[in-house]
Amino acid sequence: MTTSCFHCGEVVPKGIGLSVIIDSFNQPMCCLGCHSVATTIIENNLTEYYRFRTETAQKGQALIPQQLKQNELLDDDALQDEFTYKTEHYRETILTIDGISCAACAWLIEMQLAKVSGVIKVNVNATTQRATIRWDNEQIKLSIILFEIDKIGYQALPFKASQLEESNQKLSKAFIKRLGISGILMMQIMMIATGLYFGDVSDMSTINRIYLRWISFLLALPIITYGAFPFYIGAIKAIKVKRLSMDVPVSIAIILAFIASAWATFSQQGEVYFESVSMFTFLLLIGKFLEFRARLRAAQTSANLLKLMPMTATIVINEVEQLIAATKLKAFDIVIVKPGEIIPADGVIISGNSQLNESMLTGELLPITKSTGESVFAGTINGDGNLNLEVKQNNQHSFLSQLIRLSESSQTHKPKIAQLSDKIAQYFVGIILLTAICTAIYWQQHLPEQAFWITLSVLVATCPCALSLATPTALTCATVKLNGNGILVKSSHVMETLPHIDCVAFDKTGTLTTGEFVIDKITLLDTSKNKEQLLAIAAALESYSEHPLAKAFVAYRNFDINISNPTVKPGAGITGEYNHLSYKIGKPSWLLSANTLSQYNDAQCVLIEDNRLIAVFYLQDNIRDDAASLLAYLKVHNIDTMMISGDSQAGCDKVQSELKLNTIHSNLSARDKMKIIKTRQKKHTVAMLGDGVNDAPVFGSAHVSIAMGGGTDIAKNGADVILLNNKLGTVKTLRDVAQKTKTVIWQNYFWAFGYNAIILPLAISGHITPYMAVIGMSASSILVISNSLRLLK
Amino acid sequence: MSIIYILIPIAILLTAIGIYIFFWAVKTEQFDDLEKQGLSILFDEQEELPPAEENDKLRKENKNGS
Repeated sequence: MTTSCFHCGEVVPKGIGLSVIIDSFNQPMCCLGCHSVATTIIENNLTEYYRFRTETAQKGQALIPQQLKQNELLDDDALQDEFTYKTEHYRETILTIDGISCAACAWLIEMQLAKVSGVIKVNVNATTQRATIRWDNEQIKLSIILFEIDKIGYQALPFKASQLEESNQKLSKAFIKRLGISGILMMQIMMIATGLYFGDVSDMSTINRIYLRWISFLLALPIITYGAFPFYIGAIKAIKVKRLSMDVPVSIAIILAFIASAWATFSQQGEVYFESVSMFTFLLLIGKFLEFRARLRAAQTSANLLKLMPMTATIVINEVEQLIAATKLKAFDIVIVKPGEIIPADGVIISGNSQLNESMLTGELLPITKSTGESVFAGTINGDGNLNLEVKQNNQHSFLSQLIRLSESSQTHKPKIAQLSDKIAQYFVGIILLTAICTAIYWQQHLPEQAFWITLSVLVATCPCALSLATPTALTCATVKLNGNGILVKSSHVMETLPHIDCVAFDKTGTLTTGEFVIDKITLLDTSKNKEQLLAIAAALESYSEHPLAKAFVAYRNFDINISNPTVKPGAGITGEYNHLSYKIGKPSWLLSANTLSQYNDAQCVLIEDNRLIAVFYLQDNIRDDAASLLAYLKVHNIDTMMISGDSQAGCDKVQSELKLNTIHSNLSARDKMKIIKTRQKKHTVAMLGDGVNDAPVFGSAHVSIAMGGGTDIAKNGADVILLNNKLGTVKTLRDVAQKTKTVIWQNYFWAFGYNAIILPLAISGHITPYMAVIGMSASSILVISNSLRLLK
Repeated sequence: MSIIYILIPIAILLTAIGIYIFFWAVKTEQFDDLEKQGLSILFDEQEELPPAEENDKLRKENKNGS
């Protein structure tokens, strides 16, 4: 029977025997990482976290001293200037925290830090996954604070908050204030308006009517001047660039109706429309606010990706090793790279050999063996060997930074499809203004004393309230729905562009495939041991290796089996002893003689026991479970599919044999990929799915770009959509919701226009009274909103 | 009907107070994170919890046992 870890919910491997007492029960733990996190939580009297959390935590990671040393680089004053706010007494910064899954996490982090002396104030925001921390730099260093957060299983890092975000925060507050003021006052005005309506049917003394009108005027004043302010700004901006946006008719209606009502109040004649104007403003503000919130959320999530962790390098100066920030490396510096570390800069190997995992740059998953004299690139991961490098050039010229720059520059050339709502606004404003003018001229000739009031009622009744709510409410509901499905939509054009997509380009490694090796097939040559035992021995040996193939064995680890004298041979395999028998695991060409080798040439890994071959393992990069069904779905909808990969033709063919895409292109660099996408765009609307750094520039050139949640931060940062749950199948949901949103938007427009078509003749003929305008407008707005809400289901 | 000359100004006054409190709440960032605040009522703010000491004892026993 398998048990799951109390802390993270993952399966506990056999024989690990770790547990922590939580609320008087012995709870199992799956690894040392989770164990130490849980122990820290219990020791600090924070058990309540386990009682109230709604999600399991992320898997704890054993703390590496290396990490602590890297954090110490953040204590550097020059670096801190970039992201901290300093005063004489304290420093303050905002950190992004990985691993916050529910509100209990926020409480846990606050409590943990509140106990640390030197920390003055902590505030963790569970929605944005951020913490604001104020500390006294005399008493405690930032690296220690980060370490304290690490201890309870979260990774905190400073990040580059965009300037846009700061203004967004202010905007958000102003929005809430406007919404509150409009809402509260609107209710008062409605209450008084009810009194006025009754006054119309029964007889109310003129003095009372004037009094109530004056009160309405006073209450409406803040709504018109303060609440509706964003609409005026929007309208002025649009007019300045000689366009008509939805804000223009909205502003005209608000201002005209208010001025006319105010004049009616002063001169004691005509009708007042204070309740219509305030209701109108309030409803529109809600729509605008919800839309803004959805955008703000997406902006914050993507800003969290811009972490400011300085990449570190171990530099050798006069034969002394020293840890410095990678950005400080200069050409001709000598750097040591240990197994599993990231290469800090482009350079040439001067001694040592190792296999390098360059998959994030090329898409090729199998590591490439490199030795003295060969070039290595910043951002790639070292395998099992120690390397000494000579840095070729300063970091701002590295291959990685070039890719990032390419990605940024391609963003500015993004193809756009014009937004529907703005197109409609152009025509709408024209029609309404024309009708109003005609009405005015007609009544001027027939009934001059009523002409102004009838024209005004035309403008009020045709207020584009439902019309301007049609798109934003639908888009916001769709975004919320997608969020719930693990899809983060970052750009606003996505929902409108997606239904037009007729070609989808896929990256191979990490997108169509999982990007991780799994054991596909095992051939046993020794019957004395069963499969499980052999796998456990292999897993125990492989646990000493950093090679990507070794990770395939992690799932089979049994902690009762431990290897003595393990040795890692870079680029070959691992040797060790267990139960007084010697074992070797590694690539066939290293362990097998020529004639047996030909038999098992296509195997990736063999296990030798005392010079006897006992097992052969076949591993492969698995195609994602949901890839086939997604491609079938795209085929049904007549969408062209293509694979654009940096991997070799053979690697692509293997995937192609199973998935059968329409076209495949292999051996591509990032620039080649961009070229292919651009040619395609002459005829098609193209979506691009990818995960690697080399996909980031391509994202900029596609109509819609979608990044896998498990991908690199650079790719996620450049994408329009992030599949947070890392499931390829959610693309179906994304397209379905976009399709449905399009339908809902059209329905909304249909109704909004329908309402205007009914009310317009009544208004022109002078049959509209204020209460009819309010009822009609509110009812049609509510209808549009409820229709949009259907998207949430 | 003359009662409205007293009651409506009182209602406006109350509304004004309500708006003032609302603005204060926005200013002190009480609308920034609506998730966490909902849960805060569940957590005690006291520093030391007596049951935790029992946990300590149990843990020590467990360590000796294994």
